[in-house]
Amino acid sequence: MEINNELFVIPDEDKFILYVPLEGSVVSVSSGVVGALKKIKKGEESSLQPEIKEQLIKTKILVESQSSCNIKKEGSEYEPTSITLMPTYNCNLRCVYCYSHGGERVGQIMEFDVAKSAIDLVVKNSLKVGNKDIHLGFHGGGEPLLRGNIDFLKRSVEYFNKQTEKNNLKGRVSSATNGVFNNLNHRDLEWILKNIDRLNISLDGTADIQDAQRPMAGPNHRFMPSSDYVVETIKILEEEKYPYGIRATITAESVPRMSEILEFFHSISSNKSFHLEPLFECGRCKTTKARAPSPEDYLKYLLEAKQTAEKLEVGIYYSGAKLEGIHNSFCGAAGKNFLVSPEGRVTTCLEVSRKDDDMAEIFIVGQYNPDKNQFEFDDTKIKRLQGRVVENIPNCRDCFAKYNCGGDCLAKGYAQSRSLEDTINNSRCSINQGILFHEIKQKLKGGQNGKQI
Amino acid sequence: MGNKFRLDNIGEEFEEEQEINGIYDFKTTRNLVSDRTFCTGMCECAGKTCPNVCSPYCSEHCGCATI
Repeated sequence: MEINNELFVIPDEDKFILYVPLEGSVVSVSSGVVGALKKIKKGEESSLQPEIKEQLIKTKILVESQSSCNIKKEGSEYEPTSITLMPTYNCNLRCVYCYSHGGERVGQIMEFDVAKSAIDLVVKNSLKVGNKDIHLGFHGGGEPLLRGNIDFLKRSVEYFNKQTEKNNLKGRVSSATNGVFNNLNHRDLEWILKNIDRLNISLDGTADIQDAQRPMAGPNHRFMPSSDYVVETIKILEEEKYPYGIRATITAESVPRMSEILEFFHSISSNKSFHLEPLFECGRCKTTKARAPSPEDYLKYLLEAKQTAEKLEVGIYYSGAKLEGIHNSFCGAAGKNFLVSPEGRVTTCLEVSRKDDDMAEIFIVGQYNPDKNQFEFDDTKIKRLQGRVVENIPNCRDCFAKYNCGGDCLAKGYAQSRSLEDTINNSRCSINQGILFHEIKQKLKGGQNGKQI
Repeated sequence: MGNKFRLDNIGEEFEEEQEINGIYDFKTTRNLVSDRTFCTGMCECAGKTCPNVCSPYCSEHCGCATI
């Protein structure tokens, strides 16, 4: 018998939690068990009591031989079957933390040929790899659902639907949006609700929070409140029984109010889960002085909000705590995503799409070539990003949360250390660990659904 | 909390008593099959509703970016 190579030991007051994420096992033990395991590790005679040993074998903390990783490996070919288009950097809001400086300059709207070529590519890839489900998304840069983008959206969605139907694929369309639709007419809104399958709305909380953090651009560089418009949009979506999500950015100012934010969302929405993401300082933060919450504050108030969530019977989502699965990477930024900027640049990270971004060299992996009417990719860059899996990050090697956060956000990590594989300065680690630790303890208490042995 | 959570990182003083205080099996709730993706679970293949509200159908975005 030997110790599972991926066993983690987490001190828990006077006890220890043994955690094997790849096997899904959690065992709370006294220190005597840890001492006996250490002896086994050193090759000394086992002093484990038989009934304890039996349980540790059952939970695969002790194994006859090391098994291969449960994480399914995919091919390394870059063959995206989903696409996210960023129609424009234009925006009707001036969010204090906008990562892409949305709306600061009147910019171009994506040419339809770029969208068409991108759609053709993902359809072709889907047919090649036998993938039936194909997704078209719209995101920022700026606000995708501006009045000025509607013709582009219509052409793109119409072409996407035609191609998926023709090739017997199941297509779905979604869009992120700021939810401020005062620039749209009734027919535009009707088209959106009919042709986009789902919207994800950014709303930061009650009116005072939303209006301070996500103001609308007004005349003469003045800012105007946006909250009433977003709430009105949510009201319409509720009436229409239209599927949508709500996502809030949590700042240093709003973090103590996370429970209140959750209660507010619950009061205006029938959704069963809400996304509360801590701000990462970048983009416009540099000039507005918008500040991220400290990891300690975010964790403290998130755990408090989780109690509120339980009472309200809703869930909270945060990107660093993927408790319901194990992963060796944080997201598709690791050389999988196909995200296209208004000018036809291909990036794997939504937050890095401008050519003058200081992380452009890392995440921008391709470009639409109008002469050839096709996309061209930099395979070396894609391979580089694909190598950013948690197994290759030295600082994550001995961390119990490694398969839950997947090494955390590539862009945020890179921004802090200027290296894809250096997570030592990542301020989100303590949040990710804290949430997982809390979750494991809850599970051990049997407080949530799941199987307690 | 630090980032070293291996047996080797635990000190050498232990009590005699060996006891198991609780066991939990995540396998009943986890999907152990994703690689390089942020499985939002919203996709139909996951067969359940996922709390991720940023990316409804694909497994590409983590939900970190807002507009």
